[in-house]
Amino acid sequence: MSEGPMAIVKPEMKSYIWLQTADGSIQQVEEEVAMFCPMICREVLQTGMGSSKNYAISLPQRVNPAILGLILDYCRFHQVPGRSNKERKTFDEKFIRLDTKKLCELTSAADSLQLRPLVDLTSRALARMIEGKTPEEIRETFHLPDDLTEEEKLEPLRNMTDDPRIRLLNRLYARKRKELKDREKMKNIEIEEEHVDERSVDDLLSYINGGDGDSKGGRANKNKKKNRRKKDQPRNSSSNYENGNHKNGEVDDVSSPSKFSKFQASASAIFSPKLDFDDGDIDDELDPAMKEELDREVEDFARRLNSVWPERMHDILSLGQERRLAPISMNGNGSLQRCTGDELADWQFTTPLTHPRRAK
Amino acid sequence: MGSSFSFFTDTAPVSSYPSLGDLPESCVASVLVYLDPPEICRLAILNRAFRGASSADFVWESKLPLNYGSVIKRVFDDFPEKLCKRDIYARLCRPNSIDGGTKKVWLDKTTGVICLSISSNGLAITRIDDRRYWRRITTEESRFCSVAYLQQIWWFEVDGEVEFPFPSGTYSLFFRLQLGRAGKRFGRRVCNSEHVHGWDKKPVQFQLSTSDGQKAISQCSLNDPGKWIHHHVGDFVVENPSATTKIKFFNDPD
Repeated sequence: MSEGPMAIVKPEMKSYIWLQTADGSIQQVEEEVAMFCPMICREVLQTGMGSSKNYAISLPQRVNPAILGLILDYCRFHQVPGRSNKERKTFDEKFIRLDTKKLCELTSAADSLQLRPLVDLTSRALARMIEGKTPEEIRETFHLPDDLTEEEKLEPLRNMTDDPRIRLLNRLYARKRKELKDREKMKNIEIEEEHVDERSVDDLLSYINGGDGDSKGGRANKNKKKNRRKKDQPRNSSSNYENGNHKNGEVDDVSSPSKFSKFQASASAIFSPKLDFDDGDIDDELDPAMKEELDREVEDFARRLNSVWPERMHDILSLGQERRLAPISMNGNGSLQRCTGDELADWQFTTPLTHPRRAK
Repeated sequence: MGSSFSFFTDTAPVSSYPSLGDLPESCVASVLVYLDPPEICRLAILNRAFRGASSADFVWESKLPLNYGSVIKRVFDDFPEKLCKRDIYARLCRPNSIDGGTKKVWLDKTTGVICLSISSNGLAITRIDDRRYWRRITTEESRFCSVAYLQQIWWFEVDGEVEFPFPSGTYSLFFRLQLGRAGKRFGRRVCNSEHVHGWDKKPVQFQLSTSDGQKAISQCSLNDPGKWIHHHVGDFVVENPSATTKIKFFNDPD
C-alpha cells in the first residue's frame, strides 16, 4: 500500500489519527478518541492532516507525551455516549487525583487543546487547592514567582465610579509609595553619610591647620546649617519624587542617588506622618488643615482595612527593615474595630494593606 | 524518538514544566471562576498572571446575578456605560438607595445575592403620623439612620410592599424589631425597657405574599427586650427573573 497523503481507510479497520508532540514523538490514536478534542477535530477537518505518520498533527507545545496520555484517557472514557452522569462524575473525581504539578500541566494542555470540560474539571480542583490559603502558602505549593514589584502592588486603582473608598485607598497607596521611596532614600543616604563625615573631618582639619580659635565655633556653625537644610530638604525632594511618581504605572528609579548630599539622618523630618505634600495630583492646593484631616481619614481607613485582614500584617508592605531610625509613627495601635454591616467595600480589588509598622 | 520522556524524570529542572506560574492568564481566570470574589481580590497580588486574570471580564460576569442588567435599570437612574464587569460588581455591592431613599439594595459581596432593606419610612404603619403613638428617632443602629418608635397603641399594622427584579432563587423576609429603646450612656449602649409591656399578651403575626401567589405566615411572641431581632416571616421563591416580583408583607401585633 502506498503511503500517500491520504491513506486508504478500510471499513473494517479502525481509523487512527497521528499526533506529534512538541518533543517530536509521534503517536497514533483512535479516531473517535482524538476527535473528542476540539482542536484536533478542527485540524483534521480543516487541513486534512493526521491521517498518516508523515502528516501527523502537531500538538501545541504545552502538551507533552505523558500529559497527552492522561488527556487521551479522559477522552477515551468520555467520548463513549452511553455513560451515565454518575459514572462520568466518578471517573472525573478519580481522574483529578493528581499532584499539583500534573494538575497545572493538565490545565495548560487541555486549554491549548480547547478541551473545555477538562479545563473546568482541573480548574475546579486547583481552585479547591487554592481556597483559603495565604499568598505565601500558595506561592510555595505552586512554585509561583512573586513578580510584582512593590510599586506595582501599590499602583493607584482606577476609580470609575467615584467610590469614596477607592479614593481613600488610592491616597493610602500614594502615601505608602512615598514611604517606600523614603526608605529607599534612607538607604542611599547611609551610603552617602561617609562623604558627609569625611568632609566635616577635612573641614575640621583645615580649620585646625588654618585658624586655631575658630575651630569649635566653625563646626557648630556648620552643623547648624546642616540642621536647617534637613528641614527644608525632605519637603522639596518628596515633592519631586511625588510628581515623578504619578505617571501611570511607571516605576520610578528609586535607586538614583538623592539630592541629599549633606543629609543627616533625622527621623522626625522625613518620617513625619503629617506629610504636607500628599498626592500632588489628586488634591492640589489643599490647605494644611484640610490635608491633616485627610491624613487622619486615611489613617483611620487604613486601620479599618487592617482590622478586617489581620493576617495581612506580614504582606507586601512589611518591608520590615531593620532601620535604626524611628519607624513611621502612624497610629500604631492595631485595635480591632467593630465592622458594621455597611463596611461592604473594605476589601478592594488589588492590594490589601498591612498595618503600618509599629515601633520596634 | 526514544527520548520523549526525558523531561519527566525527577532530575528535570523546575522551569522545564509548566507550573501554575506559567499558566496563561486565561487558564488562571478559569481557576478564579471557582473562587469567591473576596478570594479573587486577595489573589490579585500573587503575581502578574493572577493580577491580570483577576480583572478578567468573564470571571466577574460569572459572579454577577444573571439579570444584572434589569437590576441596574431598576436601581440606577444613570449608570456609567463603559465599566468592566468587576467595577459593575463593586458598584452593586454598595448599598444603593432606591425608591426615594426608603429602601436600600446591594449584592452580598461573597455570594453575589441580592439583599434588600426597607426602612420604616418605606412602610405603611398604622397611625405613624400621630405623635401620641409613634415617634421617629434618629439612631445609629439602623442603616437608614432612623427608626419608628412606638410609644403605645392598642393594635397596629405595618405594611410594606416592594417590587424588584429579583434574580432566581429563594429569598427570606425578616422584620427587624426591638423592644425597648436604646440609647447611649457614658458611651455605652443601654436599652431602656421600662415601658415595654403588653407584648406578651398575644403573639405577633407576620405575613408575606407575592404577586405570583406564594404566601407565608408566621407568628412569634416578642419577649426579648433590648436587642434587635430579625423575625423570620417566611420565604419565597423567584423562578423567573425577568418578571419583577411584588411582595406584600405585614406585621400585625394585634
